[in-house]
Amino acid sequence: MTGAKLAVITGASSGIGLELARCAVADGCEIIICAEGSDIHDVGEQLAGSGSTVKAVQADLGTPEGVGTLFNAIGGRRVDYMMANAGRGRGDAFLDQSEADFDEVLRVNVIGTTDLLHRTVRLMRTQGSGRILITGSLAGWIPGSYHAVYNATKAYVDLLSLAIRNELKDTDISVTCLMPGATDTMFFDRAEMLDTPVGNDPDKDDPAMVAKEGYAAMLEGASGVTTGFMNKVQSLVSGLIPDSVLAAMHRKMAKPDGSAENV
Amino acid sequence: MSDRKLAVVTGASSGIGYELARFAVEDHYDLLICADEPEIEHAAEKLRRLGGTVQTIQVDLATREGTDAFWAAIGDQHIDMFCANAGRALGTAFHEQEWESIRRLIMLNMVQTTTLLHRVGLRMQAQGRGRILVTGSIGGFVAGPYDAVYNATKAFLDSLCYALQDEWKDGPVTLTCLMPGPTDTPIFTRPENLLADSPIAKSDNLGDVTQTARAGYDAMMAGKKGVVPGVMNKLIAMFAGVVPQSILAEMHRRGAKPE
Repeated sequence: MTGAKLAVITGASSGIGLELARCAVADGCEIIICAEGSDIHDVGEQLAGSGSTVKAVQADLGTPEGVGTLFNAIGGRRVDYMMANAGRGRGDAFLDQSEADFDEVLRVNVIGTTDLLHRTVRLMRTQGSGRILITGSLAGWIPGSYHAVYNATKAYVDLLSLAIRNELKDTDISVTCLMPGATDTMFFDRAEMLDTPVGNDPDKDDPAMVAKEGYAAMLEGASGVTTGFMNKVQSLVSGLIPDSVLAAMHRKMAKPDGSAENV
Repeated sequence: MSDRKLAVVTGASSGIGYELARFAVEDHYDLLICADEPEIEHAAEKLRRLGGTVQTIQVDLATREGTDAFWAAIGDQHIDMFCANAGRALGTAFHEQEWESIRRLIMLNMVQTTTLLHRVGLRMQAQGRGRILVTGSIGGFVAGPYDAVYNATKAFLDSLCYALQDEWKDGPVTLTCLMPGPTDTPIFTRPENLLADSPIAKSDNLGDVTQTARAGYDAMMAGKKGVVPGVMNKLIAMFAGVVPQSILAEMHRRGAKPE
């Protein structure tokens, strides 16, 4: 496999991250995958089963040590593709959350992602080229009543991605922002949002389809991609409808309906 | 003095924060103001000369310890008004910035603001009333090359405000988002903000700080959701939903890239 491109995918134990890892393997890449839980090693073995070179790294990217662990695993090698996908959600009303709840969302989605991007852009500048895919969200363009901090972190990620892309426009480094809408992943369970209309919606997008579109957009060096038909419609209207109306729409999707046993 | 009302303003040593504190004094609020520099005492002196009763605390809200010390200084006082204004910018290209500077910017503009909004929000809901003003920015609508993390932090605040307004719409607490355009404050001249060499810092068209703060203050007192001061800024805010972000980013690049 010498000459294979190296792809690094964070948050790769399930959902969009796992599907991005599958895309990279199918594309002939050697991959380093990272996630917080120990199941990343099982995922690594599974992906290596197809004959690819896979390194699995267990690290909490919401900490500087975790980001350091991932970069130690990269070990100064050339990174062709960096897919910064790790992220967390947290449902419920802001004032019903604990500080630890929203702190975790901020640590992983904002501080960890920014740290990873900062190191990656510096590395790719010394390499002279590379491609970055950032999992933002359509949610970044819509104030997230009952998912307020999460949506706001994605507003941060979406805008940071576009700004860094512009800064790097005269280089061979591309930055692509993948902006999925509601996708059928572990996300809604982990965010404790199974008792919400959006969590229960059976029409969420398939993560494999979302990842495929994101991966292709990254290879093209496109600025951003919103996936799914309904998401493209939402993305289109989000600049035209006042934020207060969008927030009220989001309330209808995300407000807990009281059906969860632990509330 | 039992009918006295308390206004808490962060980042009040200069700029928009100082003006907000001044308007609160004129409206007969007692003040608790903070900043991360000794100038907060000079600001307090000026405000006292206007007749205000002013408590000060010098803390670094970019640290959790500073945020906790500030909250301890508030103690169990009734909070009638909270202006979450403290924030910094950080110019130059993302990869040229030091990680520690970026981390501190995120801690100050986002983590600290979110934490205090949570604490103050809980207290005001329990009090049964309260007014909050958050200093966001029209920068939050525009990808910001050469001040990239700053604009993204403001996108976070703008989004958070509109979401919380919806969550709190049937409650006793109002939350208003002030979204200024580039305003004539020390944000462009503080050496650590790394914007002094940018064209925007040398522009003659920066918004007037008093008018900007006035628009925010009045919007808060009227319980409005958000305000974008200035005609040009209103146009930018409107176009931000229509013009592609790549074009907005290019516009921002021209203003913010160091010369």
